[in-house]
Amino acid sequence: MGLAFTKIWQRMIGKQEMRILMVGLDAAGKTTILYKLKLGEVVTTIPTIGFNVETVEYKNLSFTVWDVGGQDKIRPLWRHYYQGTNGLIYVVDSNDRDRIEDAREELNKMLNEDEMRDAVVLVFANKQDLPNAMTAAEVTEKLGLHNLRHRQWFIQSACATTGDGLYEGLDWLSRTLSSKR
Amino acid sequence: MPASSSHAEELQMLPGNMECADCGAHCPDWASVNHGVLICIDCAGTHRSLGAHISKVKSTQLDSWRGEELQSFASKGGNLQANALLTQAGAPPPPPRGASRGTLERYIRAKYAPNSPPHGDSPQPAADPVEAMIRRMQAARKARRTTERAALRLQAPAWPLRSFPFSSESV
Repeated sequence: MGLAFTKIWQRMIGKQEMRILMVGLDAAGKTTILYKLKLGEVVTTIPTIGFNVETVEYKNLSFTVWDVGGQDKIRPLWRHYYQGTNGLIYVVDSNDRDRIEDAREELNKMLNEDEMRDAVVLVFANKQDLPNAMTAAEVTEKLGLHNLRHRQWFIQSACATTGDGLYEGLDWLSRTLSSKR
Repeated sequence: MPASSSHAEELQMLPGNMECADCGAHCPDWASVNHGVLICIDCAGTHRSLGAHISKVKSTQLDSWRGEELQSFASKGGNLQANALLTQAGAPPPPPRGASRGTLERYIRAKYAPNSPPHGDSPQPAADPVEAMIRRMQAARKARRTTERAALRLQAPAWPLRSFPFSSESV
């Protein structure tokens, strides 16, 4: 009874907790996004060796966001963060045309993992402030998002340093995750 | 051909590579691959903020290197030579040891992204002063064009944020 009441209470006024894994190739802007969401500021970042984790409150949700380093040889560590992930934020450097194919491979590898089968996917096509950046439509095509089956996904153009697009992405995550519960 | 740790050691053997090319920190284990310099993790952070079109940053320990990347990096001759070429091409003198991160950030931007050309290929250091001058003029012309384009962009949103239609619902 007490437990049921707690659940109802959480539904009414409490925040639902969501576990979000944020990955992507190195230098995609993951840490900048994390701290822009957390602090509203652009922090000076250095490459992430290991991970950062922060809780971001947004609307009726409390997102625990795990930002994991993207350097080539530490990408195999991503899988240790998969379990219990409700949403995946996949960050792409839209200005780095040379490595978009690598980005596609890493994303596909991850989405084929059994532990990730229920995770919804938000792609940030980041660094839109750089004039040579691929549009979100180009990133969609190059990542092959339209070929994904049985997967809820959304792509959002973003610029982490100005914050443009970040909350639009979170809006989709909160709508999609709330309706799944 | 991915690099083993011995490649990292090889890269550190090039003249000047035991110190960060930008701030002088000891035993740098990050690199700007296209500029052929080894840098420390803090300066690597600043290089990344310039964009991959200016500086392609890799770790000598945590990233695999392709054979041609190693070759092109080594062909630049190490930090001493690469810095000399950058200075010839108009890079400012380095700030004193122990300079603040803000000062180093301004120095790194001026050194690798003169006129802060926000796009296009990264400026390659030119050995010949005349060639360097021509490159600077080209860069200035490009920067002017960019400013004109930016002024045009002010009239219309550069990229749609809210109305982007692609998601799993649209397939």
